Amino acid sequence: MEHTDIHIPEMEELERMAQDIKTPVPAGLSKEMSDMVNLLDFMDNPDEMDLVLPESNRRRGIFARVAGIAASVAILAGIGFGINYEENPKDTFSDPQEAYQSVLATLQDVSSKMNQCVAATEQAARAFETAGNIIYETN
Amino acid sequence: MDTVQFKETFVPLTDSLFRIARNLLDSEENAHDAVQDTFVRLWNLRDTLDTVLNHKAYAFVLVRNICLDMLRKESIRQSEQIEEQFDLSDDEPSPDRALIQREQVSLLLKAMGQLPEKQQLVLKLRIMEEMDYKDIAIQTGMTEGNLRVLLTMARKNLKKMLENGTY
Repeated sequence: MEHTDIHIPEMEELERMAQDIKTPVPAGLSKEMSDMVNLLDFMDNPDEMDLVLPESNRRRGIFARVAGIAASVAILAGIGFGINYEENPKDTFSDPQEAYQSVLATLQDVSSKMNQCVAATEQAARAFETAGNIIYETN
Repeated sequence: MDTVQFKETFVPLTDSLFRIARNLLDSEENAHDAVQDTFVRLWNLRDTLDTVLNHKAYAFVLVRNICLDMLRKESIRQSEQIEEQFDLSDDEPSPDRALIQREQVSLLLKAMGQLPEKQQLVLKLRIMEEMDYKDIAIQTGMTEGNLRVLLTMARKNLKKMLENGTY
């Protein structure tokens, strides 16, 4: 059995109902509908991060990328240190011993700075790893 | 129709839609459900709405039809109760598609409450408060990159919970 005598209001009557300010509307209803649309949109549309990072390699990808960038910066900085160190480079030495000591000092200085760069790279990589762990541990 | 256009077009009609629903239905709760159903259906139809000439009239007719469906369903339910009492039924009622869609939204909201705290917070600020990443970063102390990762994980977790029924 179906109820067949339901009145079907036409547009004019719908407009009248819509403008009936005597009918109270719950507070915040518009915000609620707006929030719901936002949520539906969020679920329907993937975030750009979904497209950038493949899921299976995401964790290693982050570390590999950051460590790689940090290492590259460190290497460039190390080269810069080497280039900038010799403020008054000498092309020739009259004394072979002096020449040897100069080269030795230069090599030791470059080595020292390279070690600093390596240490800085490791420190940066540890920092990023810690940050990554925080992200994943909280989720 | 993109999301911004959708909201600019239909959210301002919320009060009007509610008044129509309340005039047709017998309770504020049912009227609220009818309005929610209307928005869900409009959202599902958003790709076709650019061809609609009068969006207000479209929405008014949609909420009316949803209300009429609810009234018919209630009438059928009452009839079936009588039929059950006298064992006269011979057909199963058809499922209410509008109810299914509305329930999915309710389940989604419930699942949100099960997310880890940071994901819930970022989801709330980004989706409900419509804050941009920069402002959320300032408020939470997290980087924008971390925020995007958290939202991506929140979306994946929500989908997983809905699929598995774990909420």
